Amino acid sequence: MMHLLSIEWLKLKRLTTLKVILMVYAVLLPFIFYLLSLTEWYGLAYDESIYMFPDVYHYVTYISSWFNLILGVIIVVFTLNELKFRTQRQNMIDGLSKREIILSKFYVVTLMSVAITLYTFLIAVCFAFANGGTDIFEGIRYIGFYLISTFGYFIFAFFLANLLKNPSLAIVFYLLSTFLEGIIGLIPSLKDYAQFFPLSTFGNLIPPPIIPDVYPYALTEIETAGLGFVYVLIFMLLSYWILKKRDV
Amino acid sequence: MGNTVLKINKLSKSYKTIKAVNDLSLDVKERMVFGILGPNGSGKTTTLGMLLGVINPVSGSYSWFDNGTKDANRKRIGSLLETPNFYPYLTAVQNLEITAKIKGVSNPSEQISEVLKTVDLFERKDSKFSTFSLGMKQRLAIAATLLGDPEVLVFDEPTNGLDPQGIAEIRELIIDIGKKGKTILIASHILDEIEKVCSHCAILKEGNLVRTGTIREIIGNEESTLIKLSTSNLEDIKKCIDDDSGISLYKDLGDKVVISVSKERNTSEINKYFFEKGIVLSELSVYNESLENQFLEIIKKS
Repeated sequence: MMHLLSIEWLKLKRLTTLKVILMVYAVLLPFIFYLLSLTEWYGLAYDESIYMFPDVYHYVTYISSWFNLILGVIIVVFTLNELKFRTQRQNMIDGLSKREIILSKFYVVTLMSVAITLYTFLIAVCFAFANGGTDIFEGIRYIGFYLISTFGYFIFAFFLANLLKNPSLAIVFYLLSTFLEGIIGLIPSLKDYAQFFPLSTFGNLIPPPIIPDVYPYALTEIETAGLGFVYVLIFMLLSYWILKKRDV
Repeated sequence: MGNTVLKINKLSKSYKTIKAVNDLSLDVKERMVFGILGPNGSGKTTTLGMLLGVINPVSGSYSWFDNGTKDANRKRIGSLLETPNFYPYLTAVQNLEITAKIKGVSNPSEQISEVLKTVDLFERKDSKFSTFSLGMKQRLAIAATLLGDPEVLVFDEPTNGLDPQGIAEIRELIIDIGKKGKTILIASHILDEIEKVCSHCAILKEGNLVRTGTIREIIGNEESTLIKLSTSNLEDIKKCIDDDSGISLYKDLGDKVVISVSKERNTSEINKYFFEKGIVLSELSVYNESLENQFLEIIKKS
């Protein structure tokens, strides 16, 4: 694993686009929360408690999760760079197996999800502490859900990139899928099923923060998390299967 | 020649209805410099792609180092397939660092400097790949194949995009590598290249193996001599050829014919033979086939 990651690191550390997007993200995210804290907008039916434990986790992860949709684009770009430069082919010719090709990207996506989750966690904790919060573990389950949700979005982006092989197509489909699932979810006869769709599952892990804090879906939170994991696994295996079948 | 480095057994690949490679079987032994010669679209790159694990064969098998199709085999092979593939935003050194890491090279920085010097790119080592000319890209790709001092080298059109001086240098380099006892596999449509650097050769046409053997066997006609003949009526000659199993028609040049006879028979004997048959030859000379002709001939015949 470390071997594959160190190879990926050599490719990524000098990728300027990636650095710029991540830097903008890192600056923008806390700044947006700061701006929001100045407004009277508390996100739907919330009040100031959103900046305190336990609600802070729910609120911060919910707002941040919208950014994940955008960050998924990075995954598409850096995955398809390897096709554009034909370096995926070269990496294989030089000795990597198709399994290792998929795994190395999987590790990067995992690491990126963990890093983004930790960063979001940090922002939430900072806000809560600034507002006199003390019990850091209260409501922390949202950080876990956020990790799975982020991971899910990213893996889905990765899967689409592998499937479509074209960055513009993959990005359009990636963004469209969310809307599409959302619209399907509005059709009364399909409404009950749409919540089990992959992107809805990833999204449902962090429902809109409204009071009272009840989970509005058919599955429980834990079950949704489990289903999210299953989807992650499915998209990973499909990506591997696609690459295995394909002439690179 | 020593151990078998590569064994190909009835390897086939088709794209929809087109048979790109058809039942190809070949053996490449240690220290051979093996050329795969064929016109564009004859299946050279497809063959190498299958051998290097990036193209899935439809049927057949191959085995490197008697070790099957294991991915790890490729770490012992330095390959340049079709185009130089590198990260454009990285420098020459940074690109080679990735190759070295994949190959598991033990002393990467020394080796990278060394191979860059070998292909004469050391001065540009810190330039980004995207700033390189086609010839430099090609040379960097060749440098990458040398990393880790692999036992086998695979070059697909290695002199592609190089200027005449570059072509000469790369050929020298390949010949040198061959002398060091490495096994080399080269695909090319340039006959001259194959003739100059290879010990063995296989000729492909439309995915089929047309001929294989040592360069000498293919070009030099070790067992037979070619003789060019002319007479007032060529049909008479052709008839006599049919009568004698030791003579065969090699090529019809229109106003002349080239025949192939066994090495032991000399021109005077041939002259005598035809004279006895009542044919007076107006021209009789040893015919030297150029590789170019030879190749075109083989391609045409099959």
